[in-house]
Amino acid sequence: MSTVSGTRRAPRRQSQDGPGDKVVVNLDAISSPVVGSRRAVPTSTGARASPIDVEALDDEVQTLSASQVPPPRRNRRTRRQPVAVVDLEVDASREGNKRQRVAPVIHCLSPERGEGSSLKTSNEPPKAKEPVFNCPVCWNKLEEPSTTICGHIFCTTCIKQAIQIQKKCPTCRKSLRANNFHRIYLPNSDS
Amino acid sequence: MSGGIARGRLAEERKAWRKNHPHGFVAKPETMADGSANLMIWHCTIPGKQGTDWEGGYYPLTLHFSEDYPSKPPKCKFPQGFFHPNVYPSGTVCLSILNEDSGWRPAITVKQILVGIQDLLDQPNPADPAQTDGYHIFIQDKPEYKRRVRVQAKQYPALL
Repeated sequence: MSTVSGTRRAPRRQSQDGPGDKVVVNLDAISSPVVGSRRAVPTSTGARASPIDVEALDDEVQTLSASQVPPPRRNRRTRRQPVAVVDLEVDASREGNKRQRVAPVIHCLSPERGEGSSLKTSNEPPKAKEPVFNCPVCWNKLEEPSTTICGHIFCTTCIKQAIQIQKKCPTCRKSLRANNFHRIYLPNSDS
Repeated sequence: MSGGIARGRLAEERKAWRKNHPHGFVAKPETMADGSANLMIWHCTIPGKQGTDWEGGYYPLTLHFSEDYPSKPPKCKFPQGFFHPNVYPSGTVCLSILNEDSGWRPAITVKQILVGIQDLLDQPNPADPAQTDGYHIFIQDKPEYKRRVRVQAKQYPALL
């Protein structure tokens, strides 16, 4: 009986006080047998003891959930206690942890890396291909590229004919004479 | 060498046309008796643009290229007596991009020529008349001009 009464009073004080006050509660617990024995006399019924304990437990749970101000403490408490509401929080925190964990990160990155590699492969062909310049006059690959004084580029043969017959630039119609063009050497030309 | 440039360019034009050309247009080199193609003469068909009085007509046009092509523009001819302010009685088309003294550039393709002529059909240039009949009616009697255009459209049905 005395031990039962002791347990009754201890949880009540713990639920009412915060984490800092828990130390004080411990001090009271040391001197509790005397006080407990006195109060035990009025509450002698055993049936009342069990419901009181249940209520005390509920209060503790509610208090803990309410006092979850610090994030790390919240995570720890929610993980430890298997209450329904806490379970939801735990699930949420677990999902967050899963996302933050290394393994899921690898899973997330792997498809991105794959996509990246595919993009790279798609980009490589155009980079690998060397540019091929065609002559606007003959529509074939430039042979002996020559440029006019207006900056347009043609085959030497084509620009000669154009100037001889039309006396204008085939692209912009600027007046040209027989000596108004000269050979140029493009970076990708072998000759 | 000049002949080589012209035929080489025309061969490339033919390839480009067969690869991709506007819907409704036809353009092919003339076939000679021995079955080979004469690249210097092309027989074309220009459809009348939809939404215009020319719609429904498929107008035959012949392109004559010279050995100096593409430095010189081709001569484009409709049938003789073709009704249009900018077409000579002989059928030759009068268009700036086809005039080597005004708008011709060797970079202009066969495709551009045909589309340009199609645009010219419904947008005559009264500042550069080429025939008396078409010009006068276009200037003085618009309703009659439109009627004449529609009549001509029926004279050139699709050859399907």
